[in-house]
Amino acid sequence: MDALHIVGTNVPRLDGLEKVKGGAAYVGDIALPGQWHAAVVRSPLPHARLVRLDTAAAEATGATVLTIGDLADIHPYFGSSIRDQPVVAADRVRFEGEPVAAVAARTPEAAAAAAELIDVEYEPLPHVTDPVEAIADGAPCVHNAGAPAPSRFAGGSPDLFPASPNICAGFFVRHGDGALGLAAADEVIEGTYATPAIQHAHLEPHSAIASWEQDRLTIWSSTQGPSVVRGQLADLFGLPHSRVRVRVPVVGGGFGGKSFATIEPLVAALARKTGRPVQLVLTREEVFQTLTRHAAVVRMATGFNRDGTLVARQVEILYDTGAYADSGPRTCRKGARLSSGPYRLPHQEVRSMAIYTNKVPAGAFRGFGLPQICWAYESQMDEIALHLDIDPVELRERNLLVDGESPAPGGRPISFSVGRCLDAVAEAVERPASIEASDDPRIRSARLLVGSGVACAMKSMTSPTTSIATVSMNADASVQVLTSSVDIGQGSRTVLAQIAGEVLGRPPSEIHVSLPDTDVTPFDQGTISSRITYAVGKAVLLAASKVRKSLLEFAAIQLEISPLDLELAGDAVRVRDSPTIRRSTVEVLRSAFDGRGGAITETSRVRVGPPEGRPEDDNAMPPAYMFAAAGAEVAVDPETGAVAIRRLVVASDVGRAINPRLCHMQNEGSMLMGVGSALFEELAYDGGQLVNGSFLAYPLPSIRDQPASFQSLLVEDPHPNGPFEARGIGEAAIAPVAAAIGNAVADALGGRRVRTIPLTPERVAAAIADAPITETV
Amino acid sequence: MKMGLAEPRYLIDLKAIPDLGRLDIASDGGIRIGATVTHAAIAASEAVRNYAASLAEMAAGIGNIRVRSVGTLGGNLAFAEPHSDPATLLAAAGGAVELSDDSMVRRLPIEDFVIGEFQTNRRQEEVLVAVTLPPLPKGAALAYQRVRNFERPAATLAVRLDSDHGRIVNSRVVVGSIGVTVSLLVRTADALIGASLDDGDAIRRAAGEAASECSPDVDLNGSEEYKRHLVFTLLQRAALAAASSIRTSAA
Repeated sequence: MDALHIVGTNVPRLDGLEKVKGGAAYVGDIALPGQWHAAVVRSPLPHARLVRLDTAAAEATGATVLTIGDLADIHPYFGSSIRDQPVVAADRVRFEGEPVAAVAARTPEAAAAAAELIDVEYEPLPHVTDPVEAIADGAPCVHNAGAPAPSRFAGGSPDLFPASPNICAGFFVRHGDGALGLAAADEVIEGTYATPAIQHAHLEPHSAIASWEQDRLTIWSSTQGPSVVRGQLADLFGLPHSRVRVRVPVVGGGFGGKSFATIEPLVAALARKTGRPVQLVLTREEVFQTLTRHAAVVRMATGFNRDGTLVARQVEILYDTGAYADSGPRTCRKGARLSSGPYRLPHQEVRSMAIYTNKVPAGAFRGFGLPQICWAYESQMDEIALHLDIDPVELRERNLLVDGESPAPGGRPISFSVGRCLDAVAEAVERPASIEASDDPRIRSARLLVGSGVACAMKSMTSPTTSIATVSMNADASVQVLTSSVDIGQGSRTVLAQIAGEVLGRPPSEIHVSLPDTDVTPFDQGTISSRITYAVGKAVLLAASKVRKSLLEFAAIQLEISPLDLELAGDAVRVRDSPTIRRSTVEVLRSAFDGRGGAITETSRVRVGPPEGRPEDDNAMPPAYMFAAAGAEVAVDPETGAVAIRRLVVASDVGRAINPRLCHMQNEGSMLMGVGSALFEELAYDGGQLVNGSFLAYPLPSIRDQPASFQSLLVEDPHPNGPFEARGIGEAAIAPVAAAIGNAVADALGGRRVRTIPLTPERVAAAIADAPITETV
Repeated sequence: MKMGLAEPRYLIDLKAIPDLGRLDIASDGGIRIGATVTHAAIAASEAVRNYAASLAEMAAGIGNIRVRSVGTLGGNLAFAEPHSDPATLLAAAGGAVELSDDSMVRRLPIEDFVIGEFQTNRRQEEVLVAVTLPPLPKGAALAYQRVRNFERPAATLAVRLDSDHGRIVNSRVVVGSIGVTVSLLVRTADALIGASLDDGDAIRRAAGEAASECSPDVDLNGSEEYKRHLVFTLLQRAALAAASSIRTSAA
């Protein structure tokens, strides 16, 4: 590859200054002429029948009220995998906080006051908030009684799953023979590993403005996936995609919480009835009632030989998807596929389920099902290591997949850098003996228990997906990139500008990467699954390369030479063998356009997934795998059970770091988020009510929780298909953090293990007192 | 106000009243802290540190730097949030609040001032003007311990020991944040009286007494059993710290 000038450098975020100065406009900063404001009436009960809904007093104030009765002309349900979520409740409410009606009025205050006047009578129904209880006999039915449709199951017959109406989706994976494999293994360790629902806590709440002109809907949304939301809204209102326009201004974080439609259907329906633009910006408390990360219960049995070789695994995963499916079915499939981790497992059998409960719907969240399953398999790896008295790093190395193997039996061979990630973190963390020997006076005087641990993760990318990018070079050689992918704060606009700039020899400051507007910017699957750098970056690379080709062709005509003899070097085209013969890019363009305006515009389409089969689709690329490892050192107060993290280090493979600083920031964000989920984050329910649904009550990691030693490492194993050999880095690093911390705590406690996160002081203190050691069956 | 539980028509900034911001040493060696003195000012005060280093350290650990810079002692006490630091320590010290209306000043011990979750004995027309703490003579010490899982404490415990010739002659023990108000642990305090300052067994017995005497509520910070365990741990740590502080100053 030619020497790189822009790729690989720490270009500062192109929109950073604007954000820091407060100039960036979010949906909440937009005010359309004549716009009204929305308020939502929400259910106070986790499960109830709607008996009566009286809107007269609210309407008497002049406000517009939306109820299910206003949506008789459409099928008023949405959902990214199953359309089971009503825009506003129909005859039942299924979680505390579910929208029952929506109100529009001139001001937010007037809307809130009118919403207060809506009188709703509920008949409470029995509720269920635990996924294990939800599939037991006699549990309350969250949706309809009776067996789920056979189409809800994949990979195997519905008979392979428990008979419960609360199964939203089931997925079965088998290779080899799980039961026979366990029987053949020297030993088997079994355990149940639990993770709670947690909140995305993106800084900007879900926000949207909807405006109708005749039969055309325009919506401004804080979404991560404008192209997908356009499709969801078009389907909902029975419109062609071309009559729905989704615009996305600057977005303040997402972490998966804005991947698919959330409030957009409600705001669009309310604007349709009101006959004027309507804006809704959720309060923080409402964000807590909108989407969560799936709680999960994982039962895992792993068989292994005495030399530490893994033989077989049987897994049952219950993902608690809450009251509506959202991404639950895809999450349950992803978790099932990733439950062997980055390890060689000849026999495997997985039953994975998304389960309905009367809780806030669970959806996409950084890692998409992986953190829950990684907590299970990496905790269990250390249990096996302890049982066999093999060093945990050594045990992992004996079982890691290596280059040329496939992530799943029979699949495509790939390169595995996870061993390099593991080596990097293993080198950075100290073993307890050396921590104890250190001069840390706090540890010695308080008689703290110290330990260290590691964990690994492998994540696949969602497939198939499509990304299209358009690149234009203007007459002054400045460049515009059109994409419907969303920069949610991770810095993708900067990275895409670096890619286009590298190809076209222009500085990133002269490259503008659009904000999405589906009337103008081409289709993109969205900012999900760590796919922007890899997929959109590739589309930008290909389109920019076509622009460069046209530019060289113009220059070739002007210089009367074959374009094959020309190259672009910085801001000039030159003859490859006689570099002194050159013409600046601007001159080439000026001559080409006869001094008038013009532009070279090219579009490229990339498909991640299997090729579609048409010969012209040469832009198919396989979904990338992402690898990461984490290492932690902890000090545990033996009396209170409080865990302090002394050191946290993460290594993840980025293929090639297009912007190393932004890559480190992704890792650091994953690390701190992982600390929160490991030590204290949990959405707590009591009697079906969410009891800590606010920032006052819900603990988020802050700078106070950042370990004193906090290190991000980048591994660069070039990806053959990625742009400049890059792959995504947004997600993989969060998954192993909790398990590394959990393993460090178990190490500090002499093998006594807490199998449920968060590792609250009480749980740790109980483990210290009780000594429940790994059960061997 | 954000949660719609209170909708005051007017908000009055008391920080403009200069006298409320004073921090004075009384002639008897006690200390008087005006209601609008910030936590950061208490933490930085030489006078406070001379009175009891544990008081300055407690103030230095409240909430976060933003809260300490803007939040005031009077505001903290009058808000009566159960998961708060100061009331526990001030009650153990034997402190009192001064409440004033336009005609008279009323004094209430801290433990009688805070009566429930976000509830105090302050009358509608009264303003909390100051906190007074009695002198801490030679041979006496104050110690404060807490556990916090989140930003606000899960359990707080403070001990005041008065000693004579190496023996505890008087003691006050106060626990907070495990229930809605701070509470005096009288039996625990009695268990400490008569013990020698270096009697670890006596302190351990008192810790057992504290664990049984306290009445924890169950919340997200933990079960009743775990909170009793925390009180047991904190009593030992606080009593040992107070005893050690007396021995150090005597040496």
